[in-house]
Amino acid sequence: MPSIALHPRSSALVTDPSLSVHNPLPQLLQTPSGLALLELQGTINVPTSEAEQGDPSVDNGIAESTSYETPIGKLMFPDYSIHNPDDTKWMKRVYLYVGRYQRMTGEVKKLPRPIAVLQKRAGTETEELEVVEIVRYKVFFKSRPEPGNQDLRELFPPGAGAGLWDASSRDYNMVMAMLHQLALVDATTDKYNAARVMKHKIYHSAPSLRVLPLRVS
Amino acid sequence: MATQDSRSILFTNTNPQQGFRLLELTPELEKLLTSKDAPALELKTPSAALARAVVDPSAPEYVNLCTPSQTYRIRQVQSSNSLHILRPSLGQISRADIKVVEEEAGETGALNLPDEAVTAIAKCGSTLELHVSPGGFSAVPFLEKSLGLYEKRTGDDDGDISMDETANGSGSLSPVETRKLRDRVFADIPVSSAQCEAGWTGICAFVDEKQGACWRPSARMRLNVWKRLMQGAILQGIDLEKQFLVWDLWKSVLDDDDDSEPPFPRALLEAVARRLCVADEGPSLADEIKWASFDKTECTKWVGETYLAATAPTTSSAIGRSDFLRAWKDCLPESWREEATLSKLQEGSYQSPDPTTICFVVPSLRQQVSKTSAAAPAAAAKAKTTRNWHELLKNPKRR
Repeated sequence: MPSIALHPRSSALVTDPSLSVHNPLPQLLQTPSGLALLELQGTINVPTSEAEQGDPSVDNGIAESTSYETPIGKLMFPDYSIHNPDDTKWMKRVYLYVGRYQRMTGEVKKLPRPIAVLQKRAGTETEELEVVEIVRYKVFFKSRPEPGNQDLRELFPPGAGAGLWDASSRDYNMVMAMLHQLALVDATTDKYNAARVMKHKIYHSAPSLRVLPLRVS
Repeated sequence: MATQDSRSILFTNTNPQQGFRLLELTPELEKLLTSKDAPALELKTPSAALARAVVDPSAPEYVNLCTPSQTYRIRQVQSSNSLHILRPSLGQISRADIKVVEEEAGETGALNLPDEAVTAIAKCGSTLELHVSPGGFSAVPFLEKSLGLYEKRTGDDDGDISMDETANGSGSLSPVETRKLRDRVFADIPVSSAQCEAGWTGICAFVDEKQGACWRPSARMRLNVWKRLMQGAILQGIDLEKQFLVWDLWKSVLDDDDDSEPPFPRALLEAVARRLCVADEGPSLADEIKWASFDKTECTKWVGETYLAATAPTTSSAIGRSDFLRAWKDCLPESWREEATLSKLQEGSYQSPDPTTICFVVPSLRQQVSKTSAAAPAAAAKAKTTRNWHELLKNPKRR
C-alpha cells in the first residue's frame, strides 16, 4: 500500500494502565502517557529468562499476558528536590546502577528536537501508526560504567591474587581506574602491586569474584 | 557521590518488549502535532510503477511523511547507543530477582528496596529523521508519468503510463466521482495533498467527465485553449482581469451553433482558468471554479512559456527571437501586449542556442541545472553543521 496513516493521538491513551500509576521520575521527565527516554552507550544485557530459553514456539498471546519485569538496577537523581522543581542544576547528575556493581553517571538533557514515540495502532484492519507521546527530555549516560564504591569487595576478594585478572579484562580495568581515582596507584603501578594495595584496603570475607549477572558492555 | 537521602528508583526491564519507533520532529511538525485539531499525517511511497518511472537518484526506496501541506523524506539513522523507552512500573517484579539489585538485608536488617520503579518497555537502535531536499518536493514529475497526455481529440497516451480508462459509457461523472478519480492518482504520489493539488493545477491537469479519465494537456493543447478563450472573451466583452463567470467564458468559447461538439472538454477550460486565476482568489480543487479573474503578469508569463513549449520544445526546433516575441504578443489581449518581454519569462525556462533564436527548457532539465549549482555548497554547509556523523562521512564518498 502506498499510504499509511499516522494519527496525531493515541487511540488507547485513556485505557493505558500506566496513567493510573504514580510516576516516580522528576516532574520534568514526566509526560502524559508516562513514557520517558533513557539513552546509554552500549547495551544492558538482561539475563535471558527461563521463559525465553524454553519453548520458542510459545504463543504470542500468552507471552503478552505474562508480561513481567526483571530488575536491572537503580536510577538516582541525587540533586533533585521535589520542593524546588524550578532549579535545574539537578539535571547535571543522574546515576544509574546496573546490578549491584556498576554505576554510570549521566545527565538529563533537553533533546535538540523533540521526539515523537510512534506505535502501531491496535485494532485496525489496515496498518496504521499513531503518535503515543512527544518527548522533549532524555536521561543520557554517555560515559562507560565505573564500579560503585561498595563493590570493591566483590570485585576484589581478599583471597584472590592478582592472577585472577588478565590485564585486558574489564574488571581489571575498572579496578585500576578506581584505584587511580583514589590516588592509590599511578600509571607505573603494575597489576601485582595494584593487587597488594587492594588487599590492604579491603579485608572482608566475600565470595570469590563472580561473573556479573548484569553487565553493561 | 550520592547523598544518602536521595531517592532511588528501581529500574527494571519489561518482558516482552514492545515495538516503538522514534521520530525526530521539526519545529513545524511539533506545532502541528500538538495543535488542538492535529490532522492525521500520511506515510507515502510511490506506487511500484511510479517508483520505476520517477527515479530518485538519492534513494532507490524511500518513505515520505506528508502533512496536509508539507512533505519530508524519512531517513532511518542507526545509533550505537541504545535508547530505552521507560514508563512507571506496574509492579510486576519478581521478589526473587530483587537481590540482583539490592542486598537481601541492609545494615538495618530490613530489605532496602526503593518503593518506586520505572521499567524499560522498549529499546530502539535507530531514530527516524526528517529531511527536506533543497529543491523541495513536487508532484509534477509523478503527474507527468501517471497522467495521459491530452492532444486535441485524440486519446493517444504518448507511451506514458495511462490511467485505466474505464469508459463509463454515456453520461458524465459527478463531482464526487471526479474527485475520487483524482484522489486515486494522488494516492500513488509520495508528496502531500497540497503539493499534489498545486502540481495538478500547475500543469492544468483535468478529469474528463465523459471519458472518466485524468489527463494532462500538451503545451499545444493549452495554447489552443488560451487562444480560444481569449478570442471568446474579446467577442463577448469579458474583461479577463476583472471577475467573470467561468460559465460565461465557456459559452464564449463554444460555437454559436449549439449542436456542434465543443472544441475541448469544459474541464480543460476550467483547469486553465484555475491555473491563471489570481493566486489567492482561486477556489481549492475540491470546489467548483465559478468565478475567476486572471492575473495579468502571471498570465503573460504562462502564455509566453506555453507558446515556447508548444512551438520550440527543444534546441533543434528553436525559433527566431523576434518571431517569438511577435507571436507571443499576438496571443495576448491588446492592452497586455507590452507586457511580453523576455525578462518576464521565468529564469531558466528558456535558452538561446544562438543569439537570434530561443527555445524552451523543460522543467526537469531546468531543475538539474539549478540543483547542481546550488546543491553542492548547501550539502557541504549542511555536513559542517550537522551533529550526525553519518552525514559527515557521507559526502566525501560520493562520486
